[in-house]
Amino acid sequence: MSGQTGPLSGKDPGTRMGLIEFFDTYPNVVRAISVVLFLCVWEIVGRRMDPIFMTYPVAIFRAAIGLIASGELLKGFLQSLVPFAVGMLISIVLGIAIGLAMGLWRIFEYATDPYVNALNAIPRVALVPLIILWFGLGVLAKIVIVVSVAIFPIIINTYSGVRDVRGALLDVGNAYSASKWQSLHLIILPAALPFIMTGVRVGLALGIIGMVVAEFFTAVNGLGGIIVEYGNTFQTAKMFVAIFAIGILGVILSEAAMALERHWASWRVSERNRQ
Amino acid sequence: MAVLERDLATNPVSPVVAKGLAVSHVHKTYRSTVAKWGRKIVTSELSVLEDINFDAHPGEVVTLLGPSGCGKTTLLRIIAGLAQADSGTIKLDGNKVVGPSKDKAVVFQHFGLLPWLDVISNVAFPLKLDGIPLAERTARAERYIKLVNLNGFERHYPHNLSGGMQQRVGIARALARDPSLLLMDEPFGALDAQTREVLQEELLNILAKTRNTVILVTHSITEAVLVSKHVLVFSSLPGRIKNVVTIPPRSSDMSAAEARTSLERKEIERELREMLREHEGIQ
Repeated sequence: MSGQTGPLSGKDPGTRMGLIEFFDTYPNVVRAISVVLFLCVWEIVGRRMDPIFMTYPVAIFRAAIGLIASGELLKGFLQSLVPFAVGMLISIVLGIAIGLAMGLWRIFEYATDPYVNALNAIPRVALVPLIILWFGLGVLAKIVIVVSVAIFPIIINTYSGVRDVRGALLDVGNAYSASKWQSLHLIILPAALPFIMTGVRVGLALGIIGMVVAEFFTAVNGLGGIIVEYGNTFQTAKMFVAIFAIGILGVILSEAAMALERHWASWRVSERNRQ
Repeated sequence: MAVLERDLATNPVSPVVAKGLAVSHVHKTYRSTVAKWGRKIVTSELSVLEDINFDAHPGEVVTLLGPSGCGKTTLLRIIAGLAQADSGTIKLDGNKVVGPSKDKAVVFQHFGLLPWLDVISNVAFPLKLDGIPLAERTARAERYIKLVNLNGFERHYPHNLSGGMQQRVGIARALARDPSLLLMDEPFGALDAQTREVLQEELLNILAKTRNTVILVTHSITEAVLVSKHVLVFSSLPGRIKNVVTIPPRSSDMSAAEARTSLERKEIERELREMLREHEGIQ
């Protein structure tokens, strides 16, 4: 054996992959085939069924064009997005603040953890009638419902993140005589950021659920409202358009949160890989 | 070195006060306590430091040598201001040490780098705490990165560096404030043998330029003999200074590698080993 490696002259014609190996190498091909097959079966079966119960892809596509053209989808989307965005903003700011305070001060933690644990243990849907009683059926109630589900993962993850900061890193701050404020925003916050971002990502996913639930139970509007309205009037195809719209919103938000998480927490992932 | 002369110019040496470190009558006892009916009850006591006295003159390297658990790291943390002594006083350049301060810097055994900062930001971190503007602290950090031979790695993150390189960053960060006292807690203890030798020699070169006063904690006899002026030999439980051994200065034409194997130094190492064995029986 000469033991030499390096680029070949480029004359190797390659060996043909077997079908299994081919699918194993190109997972997206498998996904595409699967989705196309599923849509075909759905189309065939859906057309034979009672349109009250079931619809089919072409009908959904037609309904989507109709709802977009009439502006109904955009209107519903905006109606959903405003309370959702406000609710998420409140959840993120308040959640990080409460989580930080709990992680930094033991006595604050002991004073608040009964409420955090109790509220987190109650399925928040159970609180919706109470929230409606207190805040009515308007935008405010929707914001409160979104906050009630989205804030807890943010509080809990921020808290765990602060508690996870290694004593060695805090020692560095102390040894170089960092002030309390400097330790907080130059050491504790960056060290806890990967945890906080995970909390925000989970909070976003739960917030969408909160948003739809809120639209079912309070003033029926937004994307959730479209589902209820067309469900009640047996227009299944239009109902599916709103369901898909919510799904797409969820995927975009979760991908965006994951991208931010990767960006800010890259050091943590690589550090873990080293160990 | 031109680089460091400029730093000296910004921190002129005051000729009046007694410079250097003075440790006198330091005691430390660890107490375990349990809480019972709102009272704190001491269940056990462990005296870790007993009547520690020593001086380190400016520019000297003083090594605390002893077996694990002899309290030498505790003493270093007390000098750094990260822990409190039960009694006794520590003075640095005439001022009583009451806590962490900007004229002391610590090199940690496990480097203590901030993993989300790149090399240059880690080195500049103490300067950032001082509120020095970005351009100036980058320039100053750059000089110390050169001093520890890490130029070219400014934008690397700690997790992409070897242990030896990470500790070079740790040393550069400690030097960045040009502290009058450099505290090193087993700085090469987490490194493999070859890297440790290289870094020991580089530390000698660096200190020849910066002339910091250094307190070094180690349990390596070779390291103690190679880098220090005085070696304080500790006994353990309670930690006491048993012997003070002064290492004769290395002649200027002798390289660190030669010093490592010189007969005179081997003899001192043998003596130190005897002393440690007398107390504890290690190695």
